[in-house]
Amino acid sequence: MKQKYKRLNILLIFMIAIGSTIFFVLKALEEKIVFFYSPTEILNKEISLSELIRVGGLVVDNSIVFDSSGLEVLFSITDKKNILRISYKGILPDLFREGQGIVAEGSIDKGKKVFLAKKVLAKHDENYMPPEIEKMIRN
Amino acid sequence: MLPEIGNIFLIISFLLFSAQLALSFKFNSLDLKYSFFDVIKRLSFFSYILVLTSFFILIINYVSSDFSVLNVYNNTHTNKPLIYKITGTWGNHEGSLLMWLSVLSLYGLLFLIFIKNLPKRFAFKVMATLALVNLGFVGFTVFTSNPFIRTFPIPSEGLGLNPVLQDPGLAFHPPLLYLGYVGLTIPFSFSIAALLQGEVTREWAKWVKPWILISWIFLTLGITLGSWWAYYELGWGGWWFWDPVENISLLPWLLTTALLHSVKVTEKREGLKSWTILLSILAFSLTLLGTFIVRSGLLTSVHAFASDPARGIFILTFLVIVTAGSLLLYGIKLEKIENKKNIYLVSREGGLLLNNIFLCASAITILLGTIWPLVIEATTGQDISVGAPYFKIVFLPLIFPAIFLSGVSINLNWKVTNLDYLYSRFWKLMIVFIFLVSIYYIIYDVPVLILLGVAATIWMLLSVIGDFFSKLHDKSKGFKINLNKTKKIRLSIYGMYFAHIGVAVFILGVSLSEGMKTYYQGVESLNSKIHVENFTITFFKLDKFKKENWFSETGTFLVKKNDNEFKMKAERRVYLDTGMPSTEAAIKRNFFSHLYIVMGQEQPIGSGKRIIRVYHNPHIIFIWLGAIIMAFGGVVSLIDYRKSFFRKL
Repeated sequence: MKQKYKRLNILLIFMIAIGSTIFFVLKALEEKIVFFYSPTEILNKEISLSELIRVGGLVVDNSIVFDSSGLEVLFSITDKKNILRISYKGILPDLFREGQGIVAEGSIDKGKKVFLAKKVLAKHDENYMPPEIEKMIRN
Repeated sequence: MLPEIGNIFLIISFLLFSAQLALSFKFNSLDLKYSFFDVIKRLSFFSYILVLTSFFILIINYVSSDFSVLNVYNNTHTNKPLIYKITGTWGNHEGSLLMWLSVLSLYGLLFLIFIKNLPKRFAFKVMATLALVNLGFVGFTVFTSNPFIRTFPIPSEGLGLNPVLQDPGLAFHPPLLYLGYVGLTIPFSFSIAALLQGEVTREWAKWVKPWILISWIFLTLGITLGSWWAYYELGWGGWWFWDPVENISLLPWLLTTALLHSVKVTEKREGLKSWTILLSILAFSLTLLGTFIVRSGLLTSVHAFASDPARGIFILTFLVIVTAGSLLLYGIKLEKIENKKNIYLVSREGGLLLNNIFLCASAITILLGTIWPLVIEATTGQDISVGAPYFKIVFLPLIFPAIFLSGVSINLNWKVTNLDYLYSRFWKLMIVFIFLVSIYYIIYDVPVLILLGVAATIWMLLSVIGDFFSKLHDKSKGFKINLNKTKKIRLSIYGMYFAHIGVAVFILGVSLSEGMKTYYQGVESLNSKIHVENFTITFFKLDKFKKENWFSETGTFLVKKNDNEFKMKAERRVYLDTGMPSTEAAIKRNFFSHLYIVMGQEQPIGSGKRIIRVYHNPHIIFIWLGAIIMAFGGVVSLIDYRKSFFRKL
C-alpha cells in the first residue's frame, strides 16, 4: 500500500512539473512569437505600432537609397501587388540586392508609411526563397 | 561511365538491403545456424562497401569536374582549389545525403567488426534494424535525390559553390555532425533488438554505452565546430542564433546527453530500463525529424538551401513509419522490460533521473519553439517566427536547476543515500561555494545573470573537486588524502570529471561573453578612428585585388591598446564564378577574448565610406574550449569502455 502511494506521489510531481512547464512554454510562445506579413497585409490589417513583426518581399529595382551619412538605408519591397518602404540602419546582408527575396524584422511607423527595420535577413543561397515569400508571390 | 557504376551500386545495395530484410523476417523464428548468420553478415558487409564505393565515385566526379553529371555541374567550378572540389561533394543536398549514407555504412562496418562480442540472436536483430534504416535512406537517395543524374548537352563550366561554403569549415563540420547524428542509429538498433528480445540487461547497457558515447562525442564536436564556423564566417559576431537548423542539432545532443546518464543507471543498477530504450528511440527520431525539417525547407532558416517539398514527404513518411513502428513495439514490450527496482530520490540514480527530466524538458521546449511556426501555419494560416527571446526565456530557467542537480548527484552514492550523509557531504562544499561566489561579486560587482552563470560554473567545478577528494580519502587513516588512490579511480570517472569541467568552462564563457560584450557600428571613411573598450581602431587602408577565385577588398585596421599596436584585416569577397559576395571578419584573440571587425560594402556608393562593425567579445573562447573539454571527457570514458568492445563472448 505504501509502495503505491509513493508511486502516486512521484506521478503527481511528474504531472505538475510537466504541466507547469507546458504552461510557461505556451505563455512564452504567446508573448514571443513574431508575426509575418506581406506588404498588402500591412496595408489592410490592424497592427499596433510597438509590435515586433516581420515583413517580406522582393527588393524593388532602383529603390535602394542611402542617406548622406551612409548609415541609414531606405528601400522598398513588394509582393507584386503593393509596395512597402523600409528604413534600416546597419550593414545589409551579403546577398541583399535588387530582385532578391528578403525578410525584415522591426515595427511599423505611424500612418503605415515606413517600416522601421531592426534586422534585415537575406539567405545564404541565391536560389533560395523564404517559404513565406514564395507562398505570398504564388497567391 | 563512372556515374552509372555509382548509380548501379546504389541500386544493388538497395536490393541487397531489401533481400536481407526479407530473409530476416522469414527466418526470424528459426534457430540461427552458423552458416545463415554468416550469409546475412556478408550480405550487409557487401552492401556497405557498395555504398561507400559510390560515394567515392561521386568524389572522383567532383575532383575531375565531370560536368555531364548534373549535381557536379550545379555545385562546383574548375577554378576551385582541390580541397573545395572535394568538400563541394557534400556541400549540396544530394551529395550530403550520399555522405549520410556512407557514414551509416561506416558505422555498419564498425558494428560488423565488433559483432563477435555479441550473442548471435541479438546481433542478428541489430543487423535487421540497420538494414531497414539503410533501405529507407538508400531509397530516398536513389529515388528522390540521385546525385548521379546526367545532363545533356554537357556544359563546359560549372555553376560554382556557394561562397559561404567555400571554407575549411565545410571539410569538417558536416562529416563530424553526421558521424554524431548517424551514430545514433546504432543505439536505436540496439534498443529495437532489445525490445524484440523482450529483455534489457546490464550487459545490454554495457554493449550500447560505447556507441552512445561515440555519437555524443561527434555531436559535441560537430555542433561546436558549426558554431565556431558561423561565428567567423557569417560576420554577425555571435556564436548561436537559435536558428531552426541549429536547434535541430541541439535536440539530439540534449537527448543523447540524457541517454548517457540514464544508460549509466541501467548499467549500474538495472534501473531506468524502459526510459533508456525510449530515449534512444526518440533521439534517433529527432535526427530524422531534423533531416525532414532541413531538407523540406518548411522553416525559414539561415541554413536553408534550395529545397524540394517532394523530398520532405518521403522523409516524413519514413519518419512516421520508423517512429510509430518503434513506439508501437515499445508499447507492446514495455511490460517485459519494466523496472522491478525502486529508485530513491536521494541517491545517485535519483539525481540522474531528475537531471534527465530537466534535459528532456529543455529539449521539449526547444522542439516546441522550433516547430511552433509549422503548427500555427497549419492551424491558422498565419506565418510567424519564434526567435532568440523565446528560447532564452524558456531554456535558461531549465538549465540552471539541471546544473545544480548535476553537481549534487555527482556527490551522491548509488542506491540509497540518507539525508545525514547528504548533509555531511555538502555543508563544506556549500560554505566554499557561497564564499567564492561572494568574493567574485564583491570584486567584480556584475549583473545578476552573469553572477548566476559564474555561480553555476563554480558549483560545477566544486562538485567535481569534492567528489575527487572524497575518493582519495583514506578512511582507515583518519582524514588524510591518499594520492596513490588516484590510480584506483576508473578512467570513465575521470572522463565524467572532464565532461563536467567542460560544462563549467562553457557556462563561464557564455555568461561572461554574453553579459559583457560591447558593440559599435558606424560609417567610416579612411583614417577615421573608432573607440571600443580600451581599443582605438583606425581605418588605415583599403586594398582591392584579385585572388585565386575571388575579387578581394581588404580593409586594414590599425588597433592600439595602451602601448600595444597591431594590424587587423577584414575582407569583402566577390566570387568570380557566382558573383556572390561574402564577408570575412577580422578576428584578433587576446587571451580568451576576441576583437572582431566586419567591413561592409561601400555606402553610399561612390563615397568611399564603409560601414564598420566592431565587436568586443570577452572570454568567448571559453565557449568552444568548454565544449572541446566535454568531448575530451567523452574520449577518456570511451577508452575505459574499450574492454567491452574487444572482449570476446
